[in-house]
Amino acid sequence: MMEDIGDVNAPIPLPNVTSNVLKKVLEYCDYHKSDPLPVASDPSADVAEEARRRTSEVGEWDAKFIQVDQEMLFEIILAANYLDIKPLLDLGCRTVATMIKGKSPEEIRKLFHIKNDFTPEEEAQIRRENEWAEE
Amino acid sequence: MTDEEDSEDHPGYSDDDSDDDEMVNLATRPSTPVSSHSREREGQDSHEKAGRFVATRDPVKMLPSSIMLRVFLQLDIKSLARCDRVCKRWRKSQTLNYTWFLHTRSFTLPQLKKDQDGNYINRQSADSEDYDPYDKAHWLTMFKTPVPASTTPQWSKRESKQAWRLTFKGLITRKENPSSVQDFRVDVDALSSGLATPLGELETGYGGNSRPASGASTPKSKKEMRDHYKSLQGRKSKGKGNLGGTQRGVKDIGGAGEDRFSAPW
Repeated sequence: MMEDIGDVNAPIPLPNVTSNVLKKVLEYCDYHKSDPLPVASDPSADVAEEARRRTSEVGEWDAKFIQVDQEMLFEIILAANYLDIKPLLDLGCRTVATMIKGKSPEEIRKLFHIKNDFTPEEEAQIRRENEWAEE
Repeated sequence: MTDEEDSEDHPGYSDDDSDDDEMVNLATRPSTPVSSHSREREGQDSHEKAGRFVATRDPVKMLPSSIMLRVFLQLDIKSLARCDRVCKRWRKSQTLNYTWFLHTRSFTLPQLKKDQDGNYINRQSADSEDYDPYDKAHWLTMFKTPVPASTTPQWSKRESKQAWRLTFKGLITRKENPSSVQDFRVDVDALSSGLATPLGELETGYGGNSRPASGASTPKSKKEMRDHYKSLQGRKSKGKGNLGGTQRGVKDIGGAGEDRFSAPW
């Protein structure tokens, strides 16, 4: 990130990061500022591996911190992605995954206000198709 | 379900879809949130302020695919399969498809795992203790978030056209059904046990093809087999000589030089 800037004195543009989101992000950074640096990760380690390593547990503070409404959650994720704050990005993604995990399609739709645009026939067919995963 | 529709529907997907070998790179560099998001969100804000109508907060729509990939990769198979059923956008989502692709690859490619020092252990290496090319069942129980064996999985237009959900389904249902694995075992057994019958003697005598398979049994039977081949050799080459095939005779002699097959398979 810092290499991208070049001129040290140039202001860092923060498009699409609103002040209340930035406040949250800074709150997170402030709390975690004294965390030990993560071990330099193997360049060959991919996202999946990295994600699994970090999946171990969510700290109490983090869990509370990320208890925000969905809109804020998505904005935090986008900001963390943009600002390259990996732990926060992971926390956000994990939170979204936890929201989806174990839910029925209908529950997921309700959760994210997604319209069910399948016809009943299509839905029945897809359900049959995916039955293998249900047990 | 054309490509044009698809790229339109996925904010994270590049709109310049012209590149034939579009790669979804796992290690996506942080980028400015796509402008369509902000438009999306602003629209939503005004909607919510305006009144009762609550617009969709579909993460597949609002978050870039690199982020949704991180989310999907944390889901178990059951949840992933349910994601397919949420709506059309999710169903045809290439991010979800890519997740299935990674899961499929984690099965079909040599499984990699890390030891305590963080080095990769290749379970497929023949000297590893638990190496068993036919044992697929325990892969199921070992199943975790996919770890592709190569660092950059090949994801080209061709892969993106495939419904990996179905590929994975075929893979996993086949694994759960032991009969196919069983059938395969029977084949191998038949080759080695066939030595006992006269017909089997003849068949295994032809060309050395079946030898590695039958040699896969215990060392003792390999020894037996050697003796067997020694006794077989005379009869065989004689018979073939009568048929006039000198080449076959040569092949037979070559095959009979059992010392060349001392590899410990």
